Amino acid sequence: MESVPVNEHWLKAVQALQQMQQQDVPQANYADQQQDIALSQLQQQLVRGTLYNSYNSYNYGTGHSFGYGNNQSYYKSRPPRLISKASQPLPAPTLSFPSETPPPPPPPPPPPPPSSNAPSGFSYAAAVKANSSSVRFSIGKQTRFPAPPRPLLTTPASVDTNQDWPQPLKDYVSRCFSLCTNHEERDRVELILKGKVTIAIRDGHMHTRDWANEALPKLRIEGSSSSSTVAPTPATTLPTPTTVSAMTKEQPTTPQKTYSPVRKLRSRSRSRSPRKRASPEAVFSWSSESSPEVRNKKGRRKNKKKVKKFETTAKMAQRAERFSQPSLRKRIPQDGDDAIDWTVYSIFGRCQEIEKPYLRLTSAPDPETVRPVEVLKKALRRVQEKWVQTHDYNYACDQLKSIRQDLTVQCVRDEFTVKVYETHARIALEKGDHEEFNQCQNQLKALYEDGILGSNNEFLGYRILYYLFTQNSLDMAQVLAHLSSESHRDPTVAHAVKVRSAWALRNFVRFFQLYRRSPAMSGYLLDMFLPRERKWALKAILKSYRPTLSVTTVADMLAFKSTAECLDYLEELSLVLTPDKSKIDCKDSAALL
Amino acid sequence: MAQTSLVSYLHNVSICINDKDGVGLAECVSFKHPHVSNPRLRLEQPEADVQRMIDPPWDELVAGHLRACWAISVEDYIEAYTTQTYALQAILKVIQQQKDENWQLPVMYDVILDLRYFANLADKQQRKKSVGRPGDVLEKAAEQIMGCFRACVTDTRAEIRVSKRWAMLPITNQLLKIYFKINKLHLCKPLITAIENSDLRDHFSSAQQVTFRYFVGRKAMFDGDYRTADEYLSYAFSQCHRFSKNNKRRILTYLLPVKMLLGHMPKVALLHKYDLMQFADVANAVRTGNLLQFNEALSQHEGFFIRCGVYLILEKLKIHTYRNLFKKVYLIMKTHQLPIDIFVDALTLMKEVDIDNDECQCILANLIYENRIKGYISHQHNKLVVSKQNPFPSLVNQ
Repeated sequence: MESVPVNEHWLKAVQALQQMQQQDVPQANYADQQQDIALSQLQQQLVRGTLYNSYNSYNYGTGHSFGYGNNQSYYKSRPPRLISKASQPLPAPTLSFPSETPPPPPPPPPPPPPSSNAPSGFSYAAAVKANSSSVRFSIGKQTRFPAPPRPLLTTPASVDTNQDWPQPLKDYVSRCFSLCTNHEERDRVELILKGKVTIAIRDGHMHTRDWANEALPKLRIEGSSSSSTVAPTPATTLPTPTTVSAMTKEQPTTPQKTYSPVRKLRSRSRSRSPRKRASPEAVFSWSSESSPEVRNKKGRRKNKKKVKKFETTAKMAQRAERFSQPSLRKRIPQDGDDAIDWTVYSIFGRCQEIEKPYLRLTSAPDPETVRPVEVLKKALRRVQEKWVQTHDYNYACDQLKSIRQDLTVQCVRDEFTVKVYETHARIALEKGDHEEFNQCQNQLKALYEDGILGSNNEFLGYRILYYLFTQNSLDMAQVLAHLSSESHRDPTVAHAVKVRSAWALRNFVRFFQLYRRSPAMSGYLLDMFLPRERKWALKAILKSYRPTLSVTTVADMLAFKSTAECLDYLEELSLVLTPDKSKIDCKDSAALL
Repeated sequence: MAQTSLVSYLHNVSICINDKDGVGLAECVSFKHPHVSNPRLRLEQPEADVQRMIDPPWDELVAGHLRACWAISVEDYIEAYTTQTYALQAILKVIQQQKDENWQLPVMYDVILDLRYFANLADKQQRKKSVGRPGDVLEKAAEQIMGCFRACVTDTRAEIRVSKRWAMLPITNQLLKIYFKINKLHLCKPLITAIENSDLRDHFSSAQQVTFRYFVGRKAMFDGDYRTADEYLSYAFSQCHRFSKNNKRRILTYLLPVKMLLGHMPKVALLHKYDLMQFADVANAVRTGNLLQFNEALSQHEGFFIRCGVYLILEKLKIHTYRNLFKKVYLIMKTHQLPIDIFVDALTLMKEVDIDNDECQCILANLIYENRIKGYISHQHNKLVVSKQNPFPSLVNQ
């Protein structure tokens, strides 16, 4: 059990809690009481305004030993650090009280709760003394001790700490928690609720919002969905939902072992969100110990965040986990929207603008600027119409990126998302923007792998041609190896495969013939590397034909639209032509290329 | 070995540690050693017991190993992998802390090897449960091992004898194996450069060198650099121990296409010896210029070739087949001015569909461009005119 952070903050929190409890009708049953505790803690943390750095960072020295082997005393003499190092630059004031609240008296030992209904109720003393604590929001679990309110940073926030939450909100919270069946879900729900209530308080909606009809948060529990969305492509705008948690959670998927809760705990606290956003998870992670565990005092870690761990007897596991965390961290693509774990926020957009420019998000998204899916559908149609009319690529790209961003932020991954990406990919192809196309096609690959329907085969064909463009023989081999017979029947795929074999054998005649007859948008893809192919083919032609070759033949071979175009091309390369410009002098020209 | 008690096992371990016996200690924590079949050493929570007899920093390693043994015995490979990562961290820490000593290196080799095995098993298990991405676990393992590599590479100040840089090549080999498995060949480049530039590159053990050359040769082959691939793979093949038949077969699987592309066809006896008869049909078809047989051979053994990853390379042999076929045509015609229709007929005979005059000219143009035929095409007369001297130079030495 963690040491009692006997100090002013904590006492203040306790007092606030008691006050809140006194305000309410004393709850007869423990579950409600627990819920109140949960609510109050949630409330307090939100109210403080600083949703970070509120977890304890007890620094227990640099020993690596496991168990109580070397560190004989539980409680070090140094006081617990309330702020982790990384938080120092942040604006939250430290260890200072708001001016309006009076300085608290010297901390006495924590008093027992006023309503001592349940035997295992708010017994701080017991919680302190006990080795085992399950410190988490444990609504409905009668056997666990509640978490004592953590010492939080106080701020000069003018928000009243005794602000009462309206009953509908409390009902909503309890409904959300009732959905949960395990710890992970509970963690998620806590975070989602935090986000919502923060926003509600900030906007002043707390009392006016219709909590009774508020949608319950989506719970992402399935391993496959959360983990398969990890798409390590650069600059993706899809959420890589808590990739750390996804990865580390997947490891101990089989029966709950003593190692696993700690790991999940770790994953939570190691979420990649920037410091500002780290705290919701951090706060809750501290509270989310789920089994009787022994406290760990090994503080030495390589990364800055120091989260106090309650260890099982396998301390070595956790220590090593700590060591492995930095590498896991580095893995995660840090790029723009990726750096933020969107599932935390569970934003439901409210903006009704059909057209919205793209702005790279650097902070928590505001639901007022995020469009819900219905509006996004209209937006997509608008973009498509405008594209057909004006072919304004910058506009289309901008709008589509913003649609993609809104979808990412709201964690929407369905046929509509596929449609958006496909549209963007096609538009990018038309304009020859291969980077954008590559981004979209990678996202589409991930979406298709998740089983979402779309034009799978068409884009498979494009993918094959893209690998020709990048001359990526390895990935090409992979794709070909996994081609199903059903895919072979698709015209785009069949064409792409033929193009590939023509290209591999340097059969430029067939290559250009196939280019002439490209289905769907394959032609645009081939356009991307057409100049390169033409040059190679021309080299071979000039070496092998003597003495001259008519321009018309070359135009035909290299799929030029007209002889004149071919002539321009040849003249650009300063090849030697016959005086009447109808033939190429191959011998002389060969030396030039 | 299967009957030793935990205490005597730990006693062995502590003796090895005290004696600085790297090899002995490596055996104790390696999964290949028979002690892993000892049920008394399969402990789910070994820390307390281990701590009693082994001092830090070795206790983590030993405890990790014992727990991994347990995990394997209950077939929880993911857990085994995870535990092994802790063990790896432990040994890495030891290595980093102890300067001017490298007796611990064999231990690290074994731990890394076990990590790779467990990662493979964990990956398979995950794939069966369709959890996570395939190759996920292996990637993470690769990162861990990369950490070890970095730690060893930076040990420049110690004397050669006690330097940790001897670990470079073994670790690199493990990493190469993982990268090839997960198809991330671009990550191999820095490792290969590091080894090539190292001063120890010719002094590593022969076994490690063979492994290294094999992988670098394969990579060169995928990159299209057939000369380098030939050099490295030949070295690997010749230096590989006679009794490692499986390894030799593997090397040969990649050496054969490379050699064939450079013009050397294998003897059937060789193929027979190494059980690679799939190449026999292909080789025969290429040698005789029999396009039909070539196509049939490729499609018949398609699965095998794709699995080895050589299918696309073998496709390139089609050009050689064309060259051989056209050479035969030339020999039959006995003239230097060959109408292109003859070639078209030859191709039609070989059941190459859709080949018309233009495509045939295209094939010829490519052959001329690659210097496989000396001559030129006259478009006006629709003829191929070949040189009077050696119009079809040998495929070798090009």
